Amino acid sequence: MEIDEKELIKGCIEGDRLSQEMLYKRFSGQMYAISLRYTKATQEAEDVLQESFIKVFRQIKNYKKEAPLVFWIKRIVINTALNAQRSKLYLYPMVDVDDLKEKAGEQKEVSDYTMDELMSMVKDLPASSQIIFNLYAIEGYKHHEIAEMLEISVGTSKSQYSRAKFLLRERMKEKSKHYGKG
Amino acid sequence: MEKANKTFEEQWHQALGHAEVTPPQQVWVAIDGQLANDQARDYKRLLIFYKWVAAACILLFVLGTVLFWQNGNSSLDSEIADAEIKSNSNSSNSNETIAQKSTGVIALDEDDNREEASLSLESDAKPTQVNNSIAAVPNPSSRGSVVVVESIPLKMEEMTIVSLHPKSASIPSTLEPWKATHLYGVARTWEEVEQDMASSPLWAGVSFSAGSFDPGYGESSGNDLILSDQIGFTSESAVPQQRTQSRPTYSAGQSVAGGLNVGKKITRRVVLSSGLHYSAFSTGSASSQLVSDELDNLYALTAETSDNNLESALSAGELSYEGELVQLTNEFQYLTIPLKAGYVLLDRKINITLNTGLAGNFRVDSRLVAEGEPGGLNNDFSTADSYERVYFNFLTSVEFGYLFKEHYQFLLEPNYNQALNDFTSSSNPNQAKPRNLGLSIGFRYNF
Repeated sequence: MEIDEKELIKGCIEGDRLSQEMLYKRFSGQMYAISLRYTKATQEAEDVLQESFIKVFRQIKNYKKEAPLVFWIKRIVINTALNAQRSKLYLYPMVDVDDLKEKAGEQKEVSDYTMDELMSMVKDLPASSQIIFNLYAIEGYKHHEIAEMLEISVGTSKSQYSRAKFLLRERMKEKSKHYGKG
Repeated sequence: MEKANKTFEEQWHQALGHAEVTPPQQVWVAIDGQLANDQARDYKRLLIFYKWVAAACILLFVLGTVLFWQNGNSSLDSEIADAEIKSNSNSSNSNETIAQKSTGVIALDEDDNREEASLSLESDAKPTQVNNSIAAVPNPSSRGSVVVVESIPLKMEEMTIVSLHPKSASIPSTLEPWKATHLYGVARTWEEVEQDMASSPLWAGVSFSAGSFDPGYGESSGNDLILSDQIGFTSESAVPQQRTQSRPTYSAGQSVAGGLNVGKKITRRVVLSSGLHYSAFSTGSASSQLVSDELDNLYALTAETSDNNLESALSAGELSYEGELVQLTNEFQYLTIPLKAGYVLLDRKINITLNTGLAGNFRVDSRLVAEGEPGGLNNDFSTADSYERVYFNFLTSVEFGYLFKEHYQFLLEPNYNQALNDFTSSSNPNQAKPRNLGLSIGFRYNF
């Protein structure tokens, strides 16, 4: 029987472990997928997921219900992932990337690939490109928002995104050759 | 290009934006463990908090106990000195006066084979002479030495000594066992409260009392409740002639009182106290006939000649019985000023005092009250003219006090009051001396 979200929140605020587990089960799949997109290794994603839910349970009393709970949790997961990746971003400072010319040829459809393949392609991107691609293409943030979040310039965000897109297309072509799809 | 990009982004968003991947079980296990740790940490924090609270309580208790005993010791020293000097003065032939707060130095004269005691006093103290022939201090071990007696606060009017008796030097063996200062660690609670009480003879407090109130109508007037059918009333019978026989009789009711008290301990065992109390008495209810006049005004048939409205209706002579009864109650309000003398039976942390005295009761208001007032009665219910403005009563009580803080005392006092004169006036057909039995609860501050 599906338990009302309000009841779950109330239970979590009261520290009821059963409610916490139910909340985790309800949202962990989606949040784990997000974690995987922002990290390089499975272990990292698990750490992000764990840390994120701990934050969720500690901060749920501050949840204002202005946005759906899933968005609130998603923001926590993304911020946690960004914090985890931030050190790597500093290790590899983001610089503007010249516009990369895509090779002529047939544009492959994303739907031609499985989710695992797509995940793998995103994970293989350089850390900075991976994050900006996730934020822009999948989460839907604007470049100026990304620039603010990551404390970079808008130009850097755009160029890193272009790089990510270029690399992904290259990877998609390689995959299609490998599987004989193209 | 823009269109293609958008398509590319939308495709990725559709493919991964709502993707779900089941996380490994160990993630929840880790989260569960961390939450359990958090919970344990919270409990631990709470436990630490309570530990600190407990430690603070213990510290306060220990500190309070230490201060308590320190004060007890110093006051006991003074008491012992007092007792010693009194005993010395009894055995001496002549008296000398010693000033308050002195530091006495007893110099022992070795050559003379008798000790000359002299007291070096502060500048504001009187010079003291000591009868050398009597002030011998046999203390072999300290011959030729000086014994210093420090800071004994003595009151001038209480202190007359002739000399230092040998007993005073051989403390503490000459002391009564229960006053021995050298028995450190032995509780001397018998003295502590006495000292507090002795040093704080003035007090003020509040009290509230509740109990029974017996107006005593039946004893002096001898009238009875007589209902209309018992004396043959009919609806058309002559009410005016018979009404005095139908007066209701009021049984005992309740009393409440509250007010301020002040008192002073004039000797160790005698206390005088007074105060100002507001007292409200009510009798029990009694049945009375309802009558009506030709204008259908309803009256309760009372014995009050001061009820002008009823008197007018009676003089008109057109009253008829309604066949209904109404319940009437007398209510009184007084300002009471008691004057009590008390004898203290026990003066410790718990104290017991026997009180007796007189109280003047000054009438504020008195009236009849009809319960429910069916249909609205036209009586003038004020009974002010039927009662004296002042009546006096004898009072007696046993006061049980509990000193729960240094200056604060909780009191419980069963009391009995008996009027010495009638509280009814000559216009009242009843002559009555009320009495009341009550229990008073109060708090007192000892200055």
